Amino acid sequence: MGRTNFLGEFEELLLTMVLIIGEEAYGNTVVKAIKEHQGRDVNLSSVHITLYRLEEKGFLESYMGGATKARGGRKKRYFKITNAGKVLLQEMKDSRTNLWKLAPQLNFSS
Amino acid sequence: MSRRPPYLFTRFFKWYCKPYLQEAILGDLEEQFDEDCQQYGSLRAKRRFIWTVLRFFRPGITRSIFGTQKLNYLGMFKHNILITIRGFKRHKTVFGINLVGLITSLTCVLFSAIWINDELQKDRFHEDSDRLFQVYSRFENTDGITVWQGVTGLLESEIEEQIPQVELSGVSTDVHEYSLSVNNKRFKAQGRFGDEDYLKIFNYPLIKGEKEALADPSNILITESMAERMFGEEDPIGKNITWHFWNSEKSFRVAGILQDLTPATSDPFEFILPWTFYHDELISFKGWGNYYGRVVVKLDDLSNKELIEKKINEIFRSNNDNEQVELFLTNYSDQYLYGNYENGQQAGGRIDYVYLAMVVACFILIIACINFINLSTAFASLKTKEIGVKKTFGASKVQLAFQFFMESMLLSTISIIIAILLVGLLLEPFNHITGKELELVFEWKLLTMVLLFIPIIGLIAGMFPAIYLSGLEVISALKSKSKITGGAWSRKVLVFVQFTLSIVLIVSTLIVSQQVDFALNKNLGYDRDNLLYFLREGQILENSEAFAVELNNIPGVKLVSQSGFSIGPGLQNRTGGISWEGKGEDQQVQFWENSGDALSVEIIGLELVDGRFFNEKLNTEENSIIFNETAIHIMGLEDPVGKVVEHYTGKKTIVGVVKDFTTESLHNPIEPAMFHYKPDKAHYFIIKIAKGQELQTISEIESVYKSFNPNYPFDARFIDQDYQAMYDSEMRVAKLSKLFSGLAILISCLGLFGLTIFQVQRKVKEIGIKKVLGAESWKLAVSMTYEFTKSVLLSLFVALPVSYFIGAKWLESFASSIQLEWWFFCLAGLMALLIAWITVSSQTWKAASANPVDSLKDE
Repeated sequence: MGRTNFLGEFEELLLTMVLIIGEEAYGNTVVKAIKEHQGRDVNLSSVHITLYRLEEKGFLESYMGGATKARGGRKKRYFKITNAGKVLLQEMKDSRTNLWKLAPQLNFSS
Repeated sequence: MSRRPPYLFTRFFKWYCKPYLQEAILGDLEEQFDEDCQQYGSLRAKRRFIWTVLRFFRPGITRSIFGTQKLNYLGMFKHNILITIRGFKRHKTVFGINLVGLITSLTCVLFSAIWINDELQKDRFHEDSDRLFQVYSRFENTDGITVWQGVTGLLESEIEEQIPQVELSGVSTDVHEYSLSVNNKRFKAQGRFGDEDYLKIFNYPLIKGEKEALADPSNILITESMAERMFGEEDPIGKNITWHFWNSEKSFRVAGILQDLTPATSDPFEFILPWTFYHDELISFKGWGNYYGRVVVKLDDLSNKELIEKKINEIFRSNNDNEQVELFLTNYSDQYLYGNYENGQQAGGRIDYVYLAMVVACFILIIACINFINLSTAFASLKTKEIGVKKTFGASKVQLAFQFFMESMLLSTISIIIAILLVGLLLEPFNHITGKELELVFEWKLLTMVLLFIPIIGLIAGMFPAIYLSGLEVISALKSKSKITGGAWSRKVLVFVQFTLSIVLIVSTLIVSQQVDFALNKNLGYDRDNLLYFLREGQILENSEAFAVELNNIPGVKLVSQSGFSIGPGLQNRTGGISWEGKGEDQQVQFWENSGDALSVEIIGLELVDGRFFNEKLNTEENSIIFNETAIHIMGLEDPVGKVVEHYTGKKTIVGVVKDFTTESLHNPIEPAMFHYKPDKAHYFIIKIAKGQELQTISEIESVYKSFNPNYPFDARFIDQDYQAMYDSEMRVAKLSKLFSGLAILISCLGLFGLTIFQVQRKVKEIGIKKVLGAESWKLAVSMTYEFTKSVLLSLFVALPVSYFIGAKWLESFASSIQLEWWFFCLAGLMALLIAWITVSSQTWKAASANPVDSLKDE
């Protein structure tokens, strides 16, 4: 993995979340999904900044749309995972599985 | 409760957030706020909103402090530089002319600045130099007031005792050349006598020894390089040096080593001997009427100057009832620049040259700036399209002006860098001309000056084009036939200014060099050619008759005389000790005095008016005296030959009267002079050498000298060398002003050359058509040349009277000077006109004689 292909823990989480949420992925839904699936409170600002960074790295793409009244008629910035993002997630998952195969059986009793 | 998110923080967010992120984020924020309101109530929702907004304030979200649109100042800057450089490339002649002009003038300015700085710093390195004062005497004579530094040596101790306001006072003598010897080896060196306070007042640090050593009359202090010259590697401390003067000698012990004196002192010396020795042993008449000392005082406070002056005069008056002498104080460090006195009043001095240098430097700078202004406005007509287009795109006047300033700044930066390099390279020849030891030191003063110069020149040169060009109307700028007529008129004015300045410089140069030539070649009343002289000392003093006989045997030697005749400043004898029949009670006349043998009058070629020269065969010559005409006139003697006057050595009969002659330099008026017969008191041997074989004769004289005085250096000089040395500063000024005025006219002509190129380029079609219609080439050339001739002629009318006044003022400082002749002005005017014509016609003739087909075919 090159330098750009490296993801931090939070970045990996967000990328996975965007993948899970699919069509409806924007700032607030991501915050809620993390709360829902991980029980973790994250601030909207960190989510946004990380999303923009992932977009810059080319793992996400964004488009504007879906204005609702609740948001004062403002458009949402939807995020979608790119192929590069998908490949990266797959690679990370595979490499982790490989590592686990090398690890001795966990024995919590001893 | 309101369901709206806090307004203040929304505003804050909008203020800092990048615009393209704002909508989505603000939407998300508001959505979250809405949900929170429903879930937790508005208070908690608000708290979370505020917190989130604050958390968003981080890089990546906030906009740049330079503004949302990221105005590309650097880009514009780069663009301007690029345009400028392209402009330089396209108009190489203009660029070259501007560059050469600016570089030359800046080099001149830098040189003058270094020189002026050096002059202004002379003698300022002493501690508290503003509180150091030299005591001067002012003498009221029948023929005016004279001023000099001499006071009685007794004054210093009285000042120390009676005036508590004087912190320190020191007494010394002038610097004189003496010969010193170590183990019978002779050295000539510049030395003075001084007391220990002299060294305390002045900042001449010692490397070894104590300043107090000068209190002991058997000690001597020498400089480092003198010590090396005399003792080489050996430690000089404690060694003996024998000091010789005239026929006395004394041995001194080296008690200290002085650091070599800085070039910043105007009064350098190589050794210093104790004042007590001088005062006790050498001054036979220690009276208040003998002005043998030089006294410097250090005041405790400047405001006490008048009081101290008064007290010093009281001291003087209580010891000497001569009402015609008054003492006064002058700042020690000011003496160098303000050293001239006219009838008792301070009348400039070297400061005049400092001002002159400033004015000339300014002139040259102005001329170069005018070139830039003229050429850039002229060639701006080629830039009108560019300006028009930029203005249509919304460029403001300020932005356009900025572009032109950039251009001139860039040019001035380049020129100043090259000028500094040039100054570094040419410093040695410059030092040679000025006779100084200047160095290019990158101290803060020079750096600030250079850094100030760039914008100042940039502003001066760029101002006119910037204002003028940025103010062009868009429509007329874009129309191809835009008229720039206003510029042509002001260009002529500027050419006029340039040539006025140049002509003033040329005339001044002519006057200066004429005066210097005049002074150097003037008939001084005596014949100073091929007169060799050297000190009468050692064996040639004791066996002078035998030595003279040997000299007379040398074929190239025409006359040998023992005489006191010398022309150097400070080397002359003057006396007031002469009375005559009918002398007024309080009439004080200082006579120039020469003691010598029978030939001492004849050898310097003085012309006899009445009576005879001395005659050695007569045994009565001890009682004879010869005067010059002025002396006879002042004494009011009719039919003087045979009359008797009272000399301080006894009664003397006037045997002859000679024509007047200049005793020092032409700055001094002719003074009364007398010769008396006293060969044993003569200081020098003077030898008249036949023309044509000087070198051989001198070497023969030297070998005779060496056979008498094997341990003495043969130090013979020509009197006219000494005479030229007195005009040193004038000759240097003459050389420098020639150089500078040459450069001034060169730069002016460069500008004129550029303007002509421009004019000719614009008129190429016109010339072509005229030629096709049958106009003759020379007529075309003349008509184009005529336009510039008008400006130059006009500047002649202004410059000539101005330079007349300047020249007349300068010549006033000479007791005898050249007349301002009409041909100086004609010559200068003609030169300027001729140079201008040559410059202009080289271009106009080229254009006028070109084949009209070439200029017309492309239409």
